[in-house]
Amino acid sequence: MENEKDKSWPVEKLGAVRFRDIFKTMARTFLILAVVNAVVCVFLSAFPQNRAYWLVKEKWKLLETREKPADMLVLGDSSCSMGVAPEALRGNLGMDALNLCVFAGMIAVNDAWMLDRYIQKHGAPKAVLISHIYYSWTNGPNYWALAKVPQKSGYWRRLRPSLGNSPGVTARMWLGRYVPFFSENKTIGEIIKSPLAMLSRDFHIQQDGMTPIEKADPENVEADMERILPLIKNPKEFKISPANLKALDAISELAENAKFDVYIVNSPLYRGLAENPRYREYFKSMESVFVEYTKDKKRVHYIPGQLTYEKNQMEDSDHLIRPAAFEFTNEISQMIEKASRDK
Amino acid sequence: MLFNSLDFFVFFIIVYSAYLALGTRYREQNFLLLVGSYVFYGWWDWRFVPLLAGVTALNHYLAGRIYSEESPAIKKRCITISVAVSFAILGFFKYFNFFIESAEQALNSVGFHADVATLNILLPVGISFYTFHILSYTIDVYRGALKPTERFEDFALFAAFFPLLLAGPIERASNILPQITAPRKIRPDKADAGVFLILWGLFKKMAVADNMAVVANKIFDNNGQYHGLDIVIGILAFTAQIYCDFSGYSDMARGLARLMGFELMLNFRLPYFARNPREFWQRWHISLSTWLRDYLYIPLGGNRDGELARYRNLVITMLLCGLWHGAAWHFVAWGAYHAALQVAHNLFISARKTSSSEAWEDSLSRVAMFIFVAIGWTLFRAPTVGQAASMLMSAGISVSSETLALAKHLAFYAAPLVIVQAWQHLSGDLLAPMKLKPAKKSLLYAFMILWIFIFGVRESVEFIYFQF
Repeated sequence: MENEKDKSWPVEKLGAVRFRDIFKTMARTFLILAVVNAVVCVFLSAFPQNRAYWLVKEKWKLLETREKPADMLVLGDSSCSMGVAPEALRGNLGMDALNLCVFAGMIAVNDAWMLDRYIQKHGAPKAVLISHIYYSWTNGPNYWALAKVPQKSGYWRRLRPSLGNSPGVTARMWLGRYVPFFSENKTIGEIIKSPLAMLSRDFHIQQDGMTPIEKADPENVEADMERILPLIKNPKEFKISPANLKALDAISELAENAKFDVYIVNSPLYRGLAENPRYREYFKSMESVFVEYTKDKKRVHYIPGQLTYEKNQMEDSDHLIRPAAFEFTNEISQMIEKASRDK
Repeated sequence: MLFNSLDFFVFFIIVYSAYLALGTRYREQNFLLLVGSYVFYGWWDWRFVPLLAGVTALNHYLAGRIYSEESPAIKKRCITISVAVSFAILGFFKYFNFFIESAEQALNSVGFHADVATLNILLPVGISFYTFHILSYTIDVYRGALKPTERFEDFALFAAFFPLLLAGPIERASNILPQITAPRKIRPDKADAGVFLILWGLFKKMAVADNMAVVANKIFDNNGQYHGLDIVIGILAFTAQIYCDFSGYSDMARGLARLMGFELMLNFRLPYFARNPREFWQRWHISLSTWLRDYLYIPLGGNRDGELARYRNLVITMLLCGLWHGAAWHFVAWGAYHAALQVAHNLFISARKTSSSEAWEDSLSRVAMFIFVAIGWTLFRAPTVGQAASMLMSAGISVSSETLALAKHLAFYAAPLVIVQAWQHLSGDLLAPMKLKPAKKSLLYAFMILWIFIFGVRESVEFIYFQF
């Protein structure tokens, strides 16, 4: 590697610039960022492109605009948004039910917030049904998801359980709410890559809140099982996360004060996953934790057991198609009736 | 903490605010930077902080002895200790298991049963960089090219300066020490360039390199499932990844240093526009190639002792360059490959003996050199020479069901890089994008920031060169 004189090679040519020019450039850049961010924020609030965030917006809208109070609230994640049919609950239990389930990222914190807000607006329901996929119970709060609740700013402090006032939480909630380039970057990326896909967006919700699926996807059920099984880190040890525990405590307190019953059921699951030895061990541990938690609670009841389905009845390992959702709802209705009789 | 992490952002805001508040009090600034640099290094693994401090203290002492002693024998002894101890430490942490395992394989292959224990050795981050960094000081003092620093803290800051501690550039004491031992002025033109370099470096790292890694890892880690164009795409993806990862880091390091009034050496000069192997090494990782030239190639004899000796020195230098990158035979093979390219090029151009070329010849040379470099990166990235050979042999033009998606991914994320690099090349100015009129410059910066937010791989993926 002998020395060689530089000839026409690129070099760094500094410009004639003052400090004032640097600050002006930075100010202009931030102004452009702020304007673009505001436009995108308004657009995504009005027309959510992310299915999960759309679901949050629609379910909270249902809660706020409901005219007649519901007898039963169904709370939880997407497994019950698709899997619990209020129509079947009415038929089996004679209760007018409202499905307010969102997605797993919101964990039980959103359940508690919705219940708290519902009671403020409509008074207490007669019963609450809560259903989450197993891994949702062990997760901490996903602030980017929880920031999407369409309530007046600061709700994360006002509604129970409060997420607290720490700078970290406040920063995350503000970023999640008002800086979509941070919290919805993947959605924006998809829009940039396929802008026309926005036109064929296919989100549907029924008036009772259910978001049913019509078409099974057996291949995806298997693939999804492979994806979520590794989420079980230690099969012998199931632990409800502190955030979920706070949420359950808040729900329990609301139930005690307003005298309504809360039923916790396990989400529907693909049979292949439920029969996996690793999952079975984990499920045993999960059941014992819930039994222990609810044993001294007068108003909170854990419904044991795992209802399982075949992959031709499912879209993924915990999402049922419509006919199977009715089956699931009929079964848990019977379980709820039995639990009511036994208490 | 990585440059593209929230931890580093907070760290730099604190350090930089304090730095600016100290105004022209450079001694206090040096102390602040020294403490900050050790905090920065300790953030990775506090257990290796004493190692850095120890190597620094030893070499400072030895350089002082070299300078103050009159006896050439003592001077020689001191420099020998400096080089031997520094390389022994580097060798132990980086190459111990490699040599043990290689020796075991060699013995087993000739019938001797060997079962040697290997150690579970953690590699201190950046050790290859700061070892070379520190050695440039003692060697330059020995050669009489540099006076040792009077103050230990000045040398300690040179050794641990956080922008270049973990992945270079491999700076020379003769460049940095004068900047440490005198008041620094933050010039607006350099600060402006610093801001651009930080932003462009972040862009290359987060928006290009990390997205290229998705494809490169997929192909290289599952190479048996891919062939034809998929392999080509994987190689191209890694070619972009390693350049953007490494040059992105260098740009950020230089940008951060410029904001503090320091000038670090240029480390990358559009290497993929090189026309021949020699030019490539004058554009790629310039700080390493010049270090090897000045402290290995030239002391070996350089090109002073005839053609054969020149090629021998070239081959040794490139083999050690390969070994510097990693303790594995495929890195050595990569070094040997580049040595072969250089030797072949020297033989070819000495046969041609022409100095001017047409534009089309230039373009063809650049394309050809790019292909040669990409082939070399296959050796570099594949975990074994065998896998690299197998991948190169199955590369071609056949397509699979994934080819289109892979190609789209590659094209989409590489497009901004290609556009900016072409702009830099055609204008002959590495800072061309910041010469736009103010409004357009702000638009460009806003675009880059948004692109980083939208497409940047969010969790901090480690820079590739940190394993060196």
